This record gives sequence, structure tokens and C-alpha cells, in this order.
Amino acid sequence: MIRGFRFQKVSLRISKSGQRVYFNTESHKDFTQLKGIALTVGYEGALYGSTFGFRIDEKEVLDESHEAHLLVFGNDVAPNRKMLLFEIPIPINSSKIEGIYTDSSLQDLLGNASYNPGGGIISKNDVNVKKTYVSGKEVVKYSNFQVDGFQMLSGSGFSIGGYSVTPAPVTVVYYPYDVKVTLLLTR
Amino acid sequence: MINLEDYVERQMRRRGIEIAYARTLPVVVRRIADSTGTVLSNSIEFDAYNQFWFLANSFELPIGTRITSDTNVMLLEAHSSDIIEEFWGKIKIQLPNSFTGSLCQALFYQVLPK
Amino acid sequence: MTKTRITYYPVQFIVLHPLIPVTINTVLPSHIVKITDIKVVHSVGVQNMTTDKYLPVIGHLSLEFNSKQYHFGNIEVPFDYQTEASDEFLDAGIDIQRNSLLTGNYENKVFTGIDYLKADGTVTDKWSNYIVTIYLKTMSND
Repeated sequence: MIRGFRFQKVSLRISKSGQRVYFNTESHKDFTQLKGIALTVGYEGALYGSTFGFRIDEKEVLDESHEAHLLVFGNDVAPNRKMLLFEIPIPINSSKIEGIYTDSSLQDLLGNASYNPGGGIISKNDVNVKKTYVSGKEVVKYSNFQVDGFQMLSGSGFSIGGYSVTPAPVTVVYYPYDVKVTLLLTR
Repeated sequence: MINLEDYVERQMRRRGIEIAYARTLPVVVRRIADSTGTVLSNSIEFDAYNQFWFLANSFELPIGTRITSDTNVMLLEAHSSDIIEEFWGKIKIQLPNSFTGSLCQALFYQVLPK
Repeated sequence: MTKTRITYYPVQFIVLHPLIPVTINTVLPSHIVKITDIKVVHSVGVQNMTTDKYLPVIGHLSLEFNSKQYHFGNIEVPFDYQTEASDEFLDAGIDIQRNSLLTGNYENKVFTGIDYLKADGTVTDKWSNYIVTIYLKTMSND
């Protein structure tokens, strides 16, 4: 008899700046509720501007532009204390779980000056750059994530509207780094 | 050019708000400078809580005027008579530094909801 | 009958100029029936202008729901570039009318000095555009 909680994990490897990594997996059949989700990300600098989208049974829970740093817990905090917890647990039943992690995806939008004059709402089409999810796709093992070469501005400085800004030291990221997705399941 | 009264009535009806009273009201903003030319004051701040104030003469205000309130903030960048801005709460009208006159009048349409 | 569940809906906007306010005007998707909590965060950009990891307020955001029928109020947007940044959301509890507008205004409050702004009103190369995200924790019936 299985009781209590289970932390289901998915590992992703980000090997270059701006990379998008898709995964899918299936929830453990003995558990019926998803109560929370958390990420661990290798470098602090990689947290900002990276995004993580997530959906269950092809219904969106987190938009693709949800920022990774809102899902990350610190060293001295138990994972279940600083997860993104769902007050109303999401029902699961061997559910198809999909996600997409994009490294530094928001930085690329900074140079977009088309929102005149002072700025404005960024259209969902700009954020969700590609159609990520393919409906009706067969469930594959989570180790078989697919990778595409969505290359963005990278290097020690990135260019915004024609001039260069040197980012603060905190943004230094070494590639590759690993992202782990932790799902908190309950009976 | 939009008719301000029609616009306001439509807006209020859409939001299910009944107008108890409405009128146009001028607000004078003074620019006070001392003998050396240092500006002591070029803004005015006043309360408009539980009321809606619609700016009626944006085309007469100097470019660069900034009006803020609890619900809105606007920076006048170009003269147009087709922009209607709405304010609620503490309203502050700030003239730009480039304005060198002594006073400036903003005209509002004040709406008191029932 | 479909079951209502929690989703997170981000609304992102970009700030291109220190003095020009940003107007927010968007329609929420029709499957959102209620907004239970709201959180406004700085996403990227400000870290290019400062070595500080925390600024309490970089701007003020005023938000109205249900096509301007409900003014939620003013929210201070902090810049928090630390992993220990708070995860707390603001309580909202707003029932959303179908296909209603989310409107608002954002006023930047930092980096407005002459280092960032030339006399002609254009920005210098010290200014960096930045992105602010409004996270709406919603009840959705999609």
C-alpha cells in the first residue's frame, strides 16, 4: 500500500543560450492529485528571463512565458515549503504532463521597440514564439526530450536597439546547466 | 472629435453607474517663480475621490504636461482632441519645465455617480 | 460540465522610456472566470542599469478589471533579483465578466535622471528597456 506523497522528477539539460527544451512524461498511476511544482536551476543568473510553461492532459496550467525564478526554491528551504502550490489540487490519473523550458527567452524581447511610444503589452504571439505543443502526440519517456536550436542573443553583452549594455555580473551563466522539475503528487 | 458628454454617458451606462450630477470645471495651474527664475511651484494637487474627472481640453495644455491620479497617469505628448482621459482620486497636474507662462487652465468634466 | 481549476495567466508589458507611462489594455481569455490572486514582478531589464539586487519600488501600477468597473488599486512593483525573493501573491478575489477588458497604467519611477535621459527626451545608452509581468492566478473553466 502506497501512502503519502511522491516527488516525481524530470531532468532537462540546457546546453546553449536561448535553447528551448520540451519534455513530456506521465504521472504515477497511484497518485490522483498534483499539488505543486518546483524547479531547480543550475545558475542563479539563468533564472531571470528564462521561462517555463506547463500543461496537463493538454490543458494549460502555466503559460509558456511563466518565469522560472518564480518556481525555484532556495537551499535551506524544503521543496514542499516553497513550491508553487495549487490550493485546489489538479486531478491526475496517469496524466500526460508536458512542459517547455526556454533559456533567457525574455531578454530577447527587450530590444523590441515597436510598442510606441513608451511601451505596452507584449503580445502572446511574441512570447510564445513557436507553437510548442502538438496535440494528440504519443506519450514518450521523459528522457526523450526534444531540442530545437532557437538561438538568441548571447555572449557577455547583448545588444538592445543598436547599442550594447553590459549585464550585471549576476547574469553570468555557464552552459550547459541542468534544470530539474519536481512535481508533488498526492494520493 | 468626440462629444465628451455623450462619451461619458455611454461609459457610465456601460459600467452600470448612474450619473447623479455632472458639470464642466476649470482647474487653474499656476507657475510661480522667484526673482532669480527658480520655479517654486508648477503643479497643483487636489482630491476627486468617488468622482470621475474627464479631461476636456488636452489640446490646450502644454506638451509635456503630466496628470496623475489613483487610476490613471498621462503624459501629454501630442495635441489631439480625440483623447479622453479619465481620473479618479488624488489628481495632480504637473506642468513641464519648458512651460514659462504664469498660468494654465485645464478643463475637466466632473461626474458624480449616484 | 467542465471542472474549474487553477491556472496562471501572465500579462507582460515592456517599458521603453523612463517618463512615458505605459497603458495596459487587453482582453482576458473567456475561460477565466475568477482572479484569486495577483502578483506583479520585474522580469528582465533593470539589472542592466544597476548593480543592486533589490530596489523596493521601480514603478507604480494601477489596475482595473471588468472593463473599468472595478479599480483594484495601485501596486508597487519591486525589482528583486535574488532567489530569496518573495513568492507571495496579493489577494484579489475578483469575479471576471466574460470577455471583459483588463486596463491599467504603469508609471516608471527609477532611472529618470540626466544619465538616462538626454535633453531632447531620447534615452541614453545607460537606459535599458525592461519587462514587467502581471501574474494573474485564475480560476479557469477551459
